[in-house]
Amino acid sequence: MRQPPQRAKSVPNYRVYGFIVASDLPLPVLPRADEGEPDVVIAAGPVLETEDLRTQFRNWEAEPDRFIATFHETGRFLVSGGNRIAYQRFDHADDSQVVSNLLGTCMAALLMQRRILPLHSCCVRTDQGALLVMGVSGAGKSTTLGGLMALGLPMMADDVTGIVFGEVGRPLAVPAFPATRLWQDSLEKLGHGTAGLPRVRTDLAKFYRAVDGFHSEAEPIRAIVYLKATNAAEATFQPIEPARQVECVSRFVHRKNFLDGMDLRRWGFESAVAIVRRVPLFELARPSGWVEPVDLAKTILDGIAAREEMVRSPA
Amino acid sequence: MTPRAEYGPGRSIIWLASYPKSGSTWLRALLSACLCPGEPVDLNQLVGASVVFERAQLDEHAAIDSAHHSLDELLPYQSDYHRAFACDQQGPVFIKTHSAFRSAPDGIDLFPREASAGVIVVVRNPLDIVGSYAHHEGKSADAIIARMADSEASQDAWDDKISKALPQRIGDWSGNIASWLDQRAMPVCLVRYEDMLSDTQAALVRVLEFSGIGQSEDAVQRAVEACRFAQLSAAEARGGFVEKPSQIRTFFRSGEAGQGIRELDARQVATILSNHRAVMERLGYAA
Repeated sequence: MRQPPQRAKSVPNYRVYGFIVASDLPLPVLPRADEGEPDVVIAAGPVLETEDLRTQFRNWEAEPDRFIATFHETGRFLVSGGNRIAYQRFDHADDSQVVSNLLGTCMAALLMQRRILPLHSCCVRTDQGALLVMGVSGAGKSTTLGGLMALGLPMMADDVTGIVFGEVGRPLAVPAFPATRLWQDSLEKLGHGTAGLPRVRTDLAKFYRAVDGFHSEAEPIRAIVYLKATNAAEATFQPIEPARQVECVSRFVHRKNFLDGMDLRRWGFESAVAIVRRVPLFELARPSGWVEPVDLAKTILDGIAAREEMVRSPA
Repeated sequence: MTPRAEYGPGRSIIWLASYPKSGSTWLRALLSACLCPGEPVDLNQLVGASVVFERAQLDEHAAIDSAHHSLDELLPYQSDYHRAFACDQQGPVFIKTHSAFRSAPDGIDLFPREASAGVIVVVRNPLDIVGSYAHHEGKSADAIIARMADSEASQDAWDDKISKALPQRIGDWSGNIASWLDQRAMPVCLVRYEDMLSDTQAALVRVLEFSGIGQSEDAVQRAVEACRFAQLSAAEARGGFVEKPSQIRTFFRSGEAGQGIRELDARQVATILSNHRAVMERLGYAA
């Protein structure tokens, strides 16, 4: 049984991935939660140096229910018990650096400790359920997400989607927070400006942009798409053959290297298996140059619909 | 005496360091033909891929979003990753880089001794690089000459977007080469592109000896034959090459030495000589 976290009074509460977080550091773009007790506390505090890192040449170590990391020029972070993140800031580190690690790597460790599988994917809600698009950084997830949202689909996550299992093991997508993190280049191509937007890092041209359409409830997953950039002149969209599916989902578990240390490898594998049993997987190979976001989005939606139609009425 | 790579626990990487368009792809093809005899040279599967510069790999290893870090901030994470990567390998592992040899203010090397058995530094006359680089980038000779003098020049680094590869600080031509020749972390095998052209076999033998790879004379000769420019151009036409600059432009041009001096005007030649004379003289290019 997880113990309720202790926290200082008068610290704001935020909602993310379906739980409530109390944080002594302002978390831009996370919606405030005015009611309810916090499930997780983020607070400054001493985090001891990790002199006996079990894995060599790493800046982090993971054990069951405990993750500790040092980020150069930023600070040390300890995520424990699925309900607490302590951070010890280094001199000169600004809030944006600390928040970037809290909402990125530390959140991934926290999700795992709470048995929410973090999948490196963006996510939107369609009428038939959540649609996830996963891919490595630089593959074009943000662009594709922009296209899907331009078609009126509400966003659920911009970079990491949480996955839990509902009744009878049905995979559900858990929404992250109502903002996208976009490079100036992508913002401009999607027709947005950068004026007044908070930066992800003060020295980077990457911005948080609050989204209007955000779906804040968990949803059954309709499909998962693996996006990759290729040399091909035309985009191709096809189902992923069954033999590759578990490997493909496993590869995109965000910070999957933590699973071993936290003794969660089996859970991670079983989660991937459970996902591919219930969710169709597709691969979109897109040309590496600029493709209109809406065209990418339509390729995905049309491809999924065609496949669903084929399954409903086989020839 | 020819220096030799120094292998040891964790020291398995031989870096193939070069300024862009200096012949490292040709050397990689030669090594591939040598190490995989009997197989046709596949330009997309050459020995020496830049595997440690894949962003996703570093992000996984260091648990960071490298896209949110500056080039200097990434250095200590990369240094650690290079050590971890090298530890898991049986040497020699060839890895191509266009980066200069860099160190953080606290002395951490991007290419640490603990991971590195050696470096093969491939150099080419900068006068000849200009035309080749301009063709590759689709830019003017003057733009390339300016880039070759820019100590901050980087690859895969933008302020407003990211690529799948990690950014690398190439620096200016002189600084890039001097940084590798002057570092003390690992032994150096210096290979001039022009020497590869005039006696490919001898150059390849030197590289193999440095790397501690024994090959028969026959095998080396066959590798040289398999990697003639006509053969590599044909392979590019046949199977494509992921590093080719565009659908229209080819990667391999004539490969000749001395082409640059004919393609550049007197002012451009003078600029290059003025920018790079010291290192050109050091490499025997300024005569």
